[in-house]
Amino acid sequence: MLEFSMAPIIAAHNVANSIRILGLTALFILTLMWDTAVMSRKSDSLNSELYKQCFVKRTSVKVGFHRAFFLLHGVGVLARMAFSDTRDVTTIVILPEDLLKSSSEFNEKTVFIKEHIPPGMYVDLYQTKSAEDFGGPEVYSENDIDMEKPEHLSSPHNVQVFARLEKQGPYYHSSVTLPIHLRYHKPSAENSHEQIHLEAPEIYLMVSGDSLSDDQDYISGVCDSSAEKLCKWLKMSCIFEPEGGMLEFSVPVGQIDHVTIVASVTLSVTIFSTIFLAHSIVTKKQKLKKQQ
Amino acid sequence: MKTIVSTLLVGVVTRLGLMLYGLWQDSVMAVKYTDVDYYVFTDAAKFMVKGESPYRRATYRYTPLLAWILQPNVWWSPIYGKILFILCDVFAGYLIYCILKKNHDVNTAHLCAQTWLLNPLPIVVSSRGNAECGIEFIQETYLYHVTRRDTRHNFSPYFYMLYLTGDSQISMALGLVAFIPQVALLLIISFSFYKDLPFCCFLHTFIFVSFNKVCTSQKYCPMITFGLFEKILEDISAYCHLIKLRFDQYFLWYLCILPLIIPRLYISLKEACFLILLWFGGQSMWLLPAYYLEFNGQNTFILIWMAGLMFLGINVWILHRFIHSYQPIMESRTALLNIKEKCP
Repeated sequence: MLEFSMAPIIAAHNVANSIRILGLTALFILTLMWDTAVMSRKSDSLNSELYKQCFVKRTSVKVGFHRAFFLLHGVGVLARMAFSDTRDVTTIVILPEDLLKSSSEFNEKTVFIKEHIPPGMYVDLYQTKSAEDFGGPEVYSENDIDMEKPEHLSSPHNVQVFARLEKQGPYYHSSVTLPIHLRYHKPSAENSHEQIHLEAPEIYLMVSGDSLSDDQDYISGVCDSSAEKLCKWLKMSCIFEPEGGMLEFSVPVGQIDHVTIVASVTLSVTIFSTIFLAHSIVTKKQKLKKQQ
Repeated sequence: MKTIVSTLLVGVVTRLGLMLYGLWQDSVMAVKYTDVDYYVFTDAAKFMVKGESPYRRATYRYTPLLAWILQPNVWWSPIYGKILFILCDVFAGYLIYCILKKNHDVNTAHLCAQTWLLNPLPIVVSSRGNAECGIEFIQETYLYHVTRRDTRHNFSPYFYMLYLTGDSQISMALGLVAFIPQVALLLIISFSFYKDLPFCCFLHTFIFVSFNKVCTSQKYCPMITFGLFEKILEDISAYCHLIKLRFDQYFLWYLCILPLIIPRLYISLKEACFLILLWFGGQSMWLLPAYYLEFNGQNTFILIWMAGLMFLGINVWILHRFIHSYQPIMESRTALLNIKEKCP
């Protein structure tokens, strides 16, 4: 039944998103005005950099419906006993309309966000694939991602998130939400939590046609998550919020100090339980023999 | 006979009804009715149709037979597997009826079959596409299977110990020590109650689940097989690496055998209710700190560990009470034999 209550939450989330985007747009205008003022004093070559300007806002939240999921399945015995710590990382990309109108090459109005996922977390590509039908972004990774290894046995990986830009006022924006899962970390002697850092992503804008300059910021990459074709992409230089675009996550870790007590008590309890049960089985057996 | 047929029909219809509801929910909501693992099975079947290994699907840890049997999911319809699971589930209820009819009157057999056929738990589980039908087979076939290391928090009393010792040298020794209670009890039970197969199976699965460590590294495999199955060692390693059945499924392993032993369980209704409450209470006690770990990011490992031990204690007490109050079949022939005589 809990699923039914999700619709208003999702709707409220959309409204909140819209308000946030409006706020961001205002912030972006101010930033752009300031930047333009600074830039206008500099040389023309620097002015061209402005065309690659974009604004990116990053947030992360604990997954909302996961909570409902937990209650639904957890209390109902059908609990999935190995939960993974999931966060929704939302990235909002805002580009000025002037930029997209400045050249017909920018007609595609598609961006891709390249996330550098550290070893402490992973993206479940099967999950993102099934979420595509419900408005989730297209996600692509060149490599298979092991979803079960702990942090210290994992390596970093890149994922590419594709999104369409939508027009809103004098800007184009795109908001994508990527679910990420935190991996189990090694137990620690000092800290109760370990910090994981998700670096700022790289933002690329799709460019059509071949008549491009030899600017090194143009790269060739897959066009979408099907990875059937290659497209040209222009790397944007973005202003991030929070500054630098890095997000920090905290994950609880086991305490090395506990090892002696945990091991001794666990083994004592299990051995005692075994002896206790063996005793009741043997007693029962003897009782049955007497009955016969 | 008429009554069991109608119960079976009710069982099939409710499950199919819920399956249809699930189709609707899956098509309109992001939160799926269909079990996550059902998609895993189907993905694995897709690999198999292409002639590839089902284990290419990450998190697929089941027998390859499951992916093989679900291939029509790919070339016919994704509901094929669900219908199959539902039919097997209802067939399990019919088997309960047949086995009990051997030693009990029809009404008792019918009543116990109803506890499975009309029980909301298996009804929901099978209609969500969870493969709990061939469980005994899987359990018997892969009883020796040693699951892969997974120290994410779970109901196992051993999880925190193995997580903390994860990479150290004593971890392997502890893993083997943790095996002893399980093996010892399984052997004692086999020798004591082999004449009453349903009771024996029930105790086996209950012990297996309660004492399981869920997480054993594949490096233990050669030691466990004691060199007896050298030729299939490679296969076992593959299973060690790939099979990990979760606890929600484990619980159902013994719950499906429970109706078979109920008629011989001389236990008061009051005590039965108390034991059921105790069992659910033990789970809730585990879920609470797990919730705080999961959703509030609080370091509650030690509490989860304590709750795990407490849950083991509760399970041991329930087992003790069951062993004490059960009147096993002590004839030389087991209840499972000659089913054909009773159920054509």
